[in-house]
Amino acid sequence: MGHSMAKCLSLVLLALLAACAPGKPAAPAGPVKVSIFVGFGTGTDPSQIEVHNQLAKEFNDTHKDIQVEFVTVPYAEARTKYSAMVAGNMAPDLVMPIGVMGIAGNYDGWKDIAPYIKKDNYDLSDYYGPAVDVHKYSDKTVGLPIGVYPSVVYYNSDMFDRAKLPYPPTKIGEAYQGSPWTYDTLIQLAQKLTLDKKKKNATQPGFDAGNVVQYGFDGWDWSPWRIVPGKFGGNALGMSADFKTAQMNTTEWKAGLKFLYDTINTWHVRPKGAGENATSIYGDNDPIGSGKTGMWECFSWIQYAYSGWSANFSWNVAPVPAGPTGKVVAQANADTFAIPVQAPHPDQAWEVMKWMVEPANMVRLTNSYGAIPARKSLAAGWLEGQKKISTKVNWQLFLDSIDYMDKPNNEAWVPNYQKVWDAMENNMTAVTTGKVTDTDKALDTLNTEVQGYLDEYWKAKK
Amino acid sequence: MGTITSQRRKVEARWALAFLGPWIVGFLAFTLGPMVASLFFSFTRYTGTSAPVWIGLDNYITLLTGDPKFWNSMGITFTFAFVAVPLSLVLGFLLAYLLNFKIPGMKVWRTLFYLPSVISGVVVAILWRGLFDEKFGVVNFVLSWLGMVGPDWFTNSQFALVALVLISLWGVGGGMIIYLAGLQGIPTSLYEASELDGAGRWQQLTRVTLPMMSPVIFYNLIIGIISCFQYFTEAWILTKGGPDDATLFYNIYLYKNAFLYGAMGYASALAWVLFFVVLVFTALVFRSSSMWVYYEGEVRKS
Repeated sequence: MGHSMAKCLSLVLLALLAACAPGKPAAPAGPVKVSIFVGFGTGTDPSQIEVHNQLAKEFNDTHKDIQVEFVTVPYAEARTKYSAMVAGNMAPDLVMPIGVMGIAGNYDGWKDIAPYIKKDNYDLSDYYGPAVDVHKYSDKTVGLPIGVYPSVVYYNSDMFDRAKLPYPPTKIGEAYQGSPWTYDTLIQLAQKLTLDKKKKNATQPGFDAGNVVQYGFDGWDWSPWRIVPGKFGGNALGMSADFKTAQMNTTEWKAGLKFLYDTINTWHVRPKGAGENATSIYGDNDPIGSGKTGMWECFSWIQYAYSGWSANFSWNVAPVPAGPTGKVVAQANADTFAIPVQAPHPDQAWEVMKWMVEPANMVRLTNSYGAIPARKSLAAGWLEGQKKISTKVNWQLFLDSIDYMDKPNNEAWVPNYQKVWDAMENNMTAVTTGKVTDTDKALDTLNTEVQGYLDEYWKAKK
Repeated sequence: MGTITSQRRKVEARWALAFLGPWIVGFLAFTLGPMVASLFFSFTRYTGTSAPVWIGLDNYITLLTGDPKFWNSMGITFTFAFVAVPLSLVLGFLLAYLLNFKIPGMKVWRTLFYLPSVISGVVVAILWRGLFDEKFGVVNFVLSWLGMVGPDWFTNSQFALVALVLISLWGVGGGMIIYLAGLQGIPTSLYEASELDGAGRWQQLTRVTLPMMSPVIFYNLIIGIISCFQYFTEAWILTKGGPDDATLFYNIYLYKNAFLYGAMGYASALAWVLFFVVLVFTALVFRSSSMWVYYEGEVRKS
């Protein structure tokens, strides 16, 4: 009996091992199937899935050798499912759309497409240069841009009208009432828009900072903290060029964090809170949409909220102000495709990638994602399309802002990416929630912590 | 005769194996296999997508000697367990004790108190996010009646953990139903006998009810400790470990290492440390049980 049991168990175990063992893929018979993983960013809404499916059908109808299939996973599960697929020898051939952060979080996991670009002599001249650069690193190019999401300052026009204040400038570099459009000017304006319960604004004597009912500026909820030092003339990555020395307690970083602190505690133009999870005064985490914020600097992917805003108040956009050095840095996001290192069919994936960013297909994708197409030739069409949303909004400013995208990007790769990211965001949260008041000391602590992560990364690389 | 018995046993064994087969396959493939794999990965540098590199005990040495977040997350989890487990034990028992009396609408009350424990953690988290909202939440609204200004619970590092402890009490109905079953299993003759001996309500509670309920309390304690050390869903949805790592529970830190930091090997080491911590605590509770858990019919040497 004991032997029989043992034999049976052994057989079961062997069968299991045999089933789990990685086998050689069978020789392809018929067309190659290119699987496209969706879930690292936008692209998972039913309407977007519909667009993907239509594109897949059209591609499959016109290509005999390659067939595409979209694998859509909810955003919250994307990282775990993607890791499981790669670990299980089932890596997809393409990942799309994926932003800079998605790329950076798994930097070593993407293939360099520069050889493909070179081999095909692929024409990049129609693309916005900064949009292409976002996905270019010193050692590789990870993808072709699909769409970009530049930043502008959204403002509630009705609030300006009620305060009898002239609207902000309409073009980058334009002055505001004779003063250069800088963050100092913006703060002065924001203070006039910030009202307490008794309708006193933040510049008036007797203003009650503890009972604010309307804030003048929300910068920069929904944006990573790393954008701020870049605006203040600092190195946005916060480390040396060789990524070995943390530089997050420089004068520029300290000026940036102090500015952030002052917006809450000195000028009282934005509420205390911790990033996008804070400020319940905004209800659905939408500062402008709440009708309680005068200005908000944000990426254009907030486009999904435009209809709600328009239903309740008039709004428009102003350029991102210049920092203390006079430089305008309009931080941006950008979506791309990426080919995993483990992709079973990288050559075919490149062919699919090229097809997807052909002008007609790019328009459909970007319309679906709420992005600005990464091709300059599509700008006029995009402007026409935006007029259906509103004829009053200064849509041209979005296109102009692309030239002022941050470089390196606010989400660009650094060693030990997510740990460094968490450390920076914790630092910002400690300041925005009031836990920390000595911002210089906070950055010294942050710098020490980040140096530890850099050391850990390079030690593991040895 | 002996041969017949032996043959019958063989047939029974085959049938047993046939019925146990699916479970054995599941156990090997989905429990033992992953456990052995994670034990192996815990001795490697493994990102989850690249080939693992053997590094011996490095992961364990790092987490014990060079990772403040490991100790921070362990401390938060212990704090949570030391507060939430006793609170839920006491509250669950009190609810069951009260609902064991014959009161009007008793079945409705029992259902109402039990209902929250069958709702998924995700739904509970979303519900409580609203209730704890700084400006519009019911919790701060009630506090304002008492003249208190409620905090912004989930973005305030001093209150985020408190809020999660309070949310954990939402599920005491699960323990309550087990206590209730235990209370109804206590023979009424014990109460009658104690009454004849002149025992009051308090003495009946402490000398009859609690000793008779001790196996149930013991069970709930073990389950409570294990679930506290595995606490994840609500905290992940509500705070993701923040603000400023104030709610960085052990499992959140483990998850971040595995899926965000690309340190699957390190996360595996964290998982094994957690396994041993839970094992030690469970063993301690088991060892202490001889001092306070009484079983019906058990005869003890004085």
